[in-house]
Amino acid sequence: MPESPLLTAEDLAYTADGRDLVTDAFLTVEPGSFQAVVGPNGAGKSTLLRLLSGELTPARGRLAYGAEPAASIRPWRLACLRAVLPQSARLAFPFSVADVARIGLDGLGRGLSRRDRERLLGQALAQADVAHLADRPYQSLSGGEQARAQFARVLCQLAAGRTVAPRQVLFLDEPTASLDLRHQGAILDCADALRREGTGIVAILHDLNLAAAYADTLIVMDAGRIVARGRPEAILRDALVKEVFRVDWPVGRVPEGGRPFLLPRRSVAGTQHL
Amino acid sequence: MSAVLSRRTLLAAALAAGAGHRAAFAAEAAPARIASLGGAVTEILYRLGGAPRIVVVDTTSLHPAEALRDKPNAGYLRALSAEGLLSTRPDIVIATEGAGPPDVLALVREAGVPVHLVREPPTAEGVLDKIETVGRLAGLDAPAKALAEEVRAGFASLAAERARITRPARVLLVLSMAQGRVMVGGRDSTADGILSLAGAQNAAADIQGFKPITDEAIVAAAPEAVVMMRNGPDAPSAETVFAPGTALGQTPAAGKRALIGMDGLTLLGFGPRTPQAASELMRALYPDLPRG
Amino acid sequence: MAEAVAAAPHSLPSGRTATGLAFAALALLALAACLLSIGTGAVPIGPARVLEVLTGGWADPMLARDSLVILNIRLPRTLLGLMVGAGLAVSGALMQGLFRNPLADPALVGVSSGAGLAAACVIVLGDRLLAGLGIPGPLPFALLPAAAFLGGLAATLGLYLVATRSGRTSVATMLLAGIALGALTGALTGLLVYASDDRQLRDLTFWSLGSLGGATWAKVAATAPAILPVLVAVPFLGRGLNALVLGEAEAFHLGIRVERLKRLAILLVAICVGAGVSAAGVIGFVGLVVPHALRLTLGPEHRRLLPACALLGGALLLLADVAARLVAAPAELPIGIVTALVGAPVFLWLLLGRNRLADA
Repeated sequence: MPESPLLTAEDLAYTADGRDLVTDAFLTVEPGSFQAVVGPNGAGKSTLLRLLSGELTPARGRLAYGAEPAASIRPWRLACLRAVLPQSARLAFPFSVADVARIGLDGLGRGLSRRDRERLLGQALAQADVAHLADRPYQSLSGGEQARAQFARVLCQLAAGRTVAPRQVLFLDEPTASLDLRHQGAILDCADALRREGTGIVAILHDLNLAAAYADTLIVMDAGRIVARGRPEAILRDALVKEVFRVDWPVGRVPEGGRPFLLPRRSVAGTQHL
Repeated sequence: MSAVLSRRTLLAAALAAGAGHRAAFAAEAAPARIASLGGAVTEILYRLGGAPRIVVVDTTSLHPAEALRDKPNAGYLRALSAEGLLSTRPDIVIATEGAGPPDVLALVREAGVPVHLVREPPTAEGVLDKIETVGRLAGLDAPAKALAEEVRAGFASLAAERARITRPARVLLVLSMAQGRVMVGGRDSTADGILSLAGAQNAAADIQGFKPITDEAIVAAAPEAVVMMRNGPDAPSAETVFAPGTALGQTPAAGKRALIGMDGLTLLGFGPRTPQAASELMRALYPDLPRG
Repeated sequence: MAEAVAAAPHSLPSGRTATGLAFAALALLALAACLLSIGTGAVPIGPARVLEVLTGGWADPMLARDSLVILNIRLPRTLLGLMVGAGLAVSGALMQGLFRNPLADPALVGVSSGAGLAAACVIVLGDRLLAGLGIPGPLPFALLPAAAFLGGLAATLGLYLVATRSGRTSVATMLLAGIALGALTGALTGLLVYASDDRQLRDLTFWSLGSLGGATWAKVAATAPAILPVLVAVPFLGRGLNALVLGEAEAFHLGIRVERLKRLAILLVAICVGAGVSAAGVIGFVGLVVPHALRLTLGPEHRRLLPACALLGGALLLLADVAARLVAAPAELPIGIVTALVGAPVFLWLLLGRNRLADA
């Protein structure tokens, strides 16, 4: 018998100021899956993520974590079931990196001694490659270092939450946006490691190459709707790229495994519209 | 209790110093240490010869000048400190009404020190009443009676002079002229009180209390004379006050150059010097008035 | 990065000791401020005598005067100062955590000015209103504090209603609405100043500069039930405020009931500021400088910050009050002037230090 999905969304819709930001969204998150949400700006990716994480209340549709309707789960328990890595966050107060990460441990989970929490904190800082920055003020870090500190905080939250709910979902909102190549790879490797242990990953990614490399399923959004979904090598085609992203870049294939990739191409005047 | 204590010690000291002397009996009835708060109260006490018994005054006790020079200062009349007052070990607090804050006065009363607030209506009767009240509280009834008689006589001759005025002048009393804002004394103010004592009609009677007045209202008030507070040597001259183009420049007072500068404290203090101040103002307003 | 390195050692154990030391130092400072406040004043009373009075000597008639000064004047004043200072500093820290802005202050969002306006209304219009209602006699003293308290609460609630749409509070809207509310209450207070006579004007000034001068046991008894429960409750908001530092959405992701937290924080601030203003008038800079200084030394973690604010706020207000009553004895300065004189330069200095840190 296959494992039940971690998260089930049916017919989700969200409307703001009379505009339909997300419509007809069906989605399940299976344990150990890595789904990348891709699409042009304004396609509704972030709104979909906020609906799935329970931050926004859908205008229509059903959302359930396991068998529980999300609306009936108390915030504290929900925080043990899923974590969200935000795009970027500025802090008004001089918290250190360790302080920021510790917020993820604080008050969550069950039966954790102070020593346990400090151990989890140390692991998370190391995994996010910010252990050497632990005492530095968050405000003084570069954008990439801040993103990794936030990732350490998310790892803490998942680790603490695991003591209550072992079946977890991790949402990543453009986790690679301000990172250099090494850390782009590292953060997604880290997410992939969590996936292998059974966590369901849903990440918004702008880089189709990274999406194709890490995701087992691509969810392509345009104008608030999911317009395509499937294995990257199955759905990433020239026509889709042209239709959804409005660029005329050809999709190539690497020999091993047939992973698709895109190379940017300078547009010839008149062939491209914004 | 502290009051009883200190009075007893003082009495003992007085007895020891001049046994059988009459002053000792006077001291028993009269408070030996007076906190004198409010310009009029301090002025009256000094006039009554109570100065040696004053242990503390306030910042409004500007006359005579030695009061603030010689005595500790309890601060502003309306922002007193309970412990500050008690530290001067007064037997009684005599203050003009408006002294406070009320909580502080309550604490002082709680410490066993009687606190008396003297009413201050800006009238001749008010001044006489004030003199007698302060005298009675300070145990200086006889000098108070004498001073009251003197002041009463002053008010009487003022009234006699006033009766000769055939037509009261419309007068605007200007408290200050800062940044083009002219602050005047309206009805129910000490300004109104002194103007009526001087036989003048308050041109700003439409306004209540001390208020800034608009240029139009100045023109509409049409004062025949302007009384200003004289603060130091750089008091404004008639030329600047009635400068053409200004609102005051368009009043009847401007044509006559009728600007009278007077000391603000004397004019608005409503103490023993009020008959003289009113009389001085009256002579300045009505130079042709036959002398009594 | 992917391979989990053994937990890297970092400074927590020593950090905990440091925090303990800092709290011990703050408690000592508060205690010293209390002793100074009880032991000094315009009436010279030696330390031995103070101790004698405090340890049961108040019944001795030879100590009657000193007992009265210490027990009825200095002691309530000290307790009131401690509570008002703690309340102001804690509400400043709460407000800053809520708005995620270290410059947020109850005065900034109109809570203080709402309380001040209500006080001004009572001072200027109270007599007329009572006369109109046919109630004889002078204004009941209790009316003024009650009005200030309700004014602060009304301002906060009004602000909250303006800034809240469909159950969500927009911090930006609230800050802007607070500035508008401050302007409005300022204008209305100006109107009252115009309508007031000389006596009322002086009372308004006195009120707006703040003072602990009128401290009585009655005031202590009226203030304690408002401020003390807040001081006890406030550390429980720490985890929520820490998470809120990351952002409202992030706090929700971390399991915080954000709307409830914000509502609670606003209510606690209104209670603290209303009670503080009603007891001692408007006293500035305590709510701004104390949390700021503590964040620099103790860190911004709210469960540490909020109790530390209570200790330092109380201690600093007491020290300011001792200065206020000694500098011009037997007169005293309004305490708001002392806190502004000390607080404004310190705050500027802190700001400059912060900028230098950020530039580096």
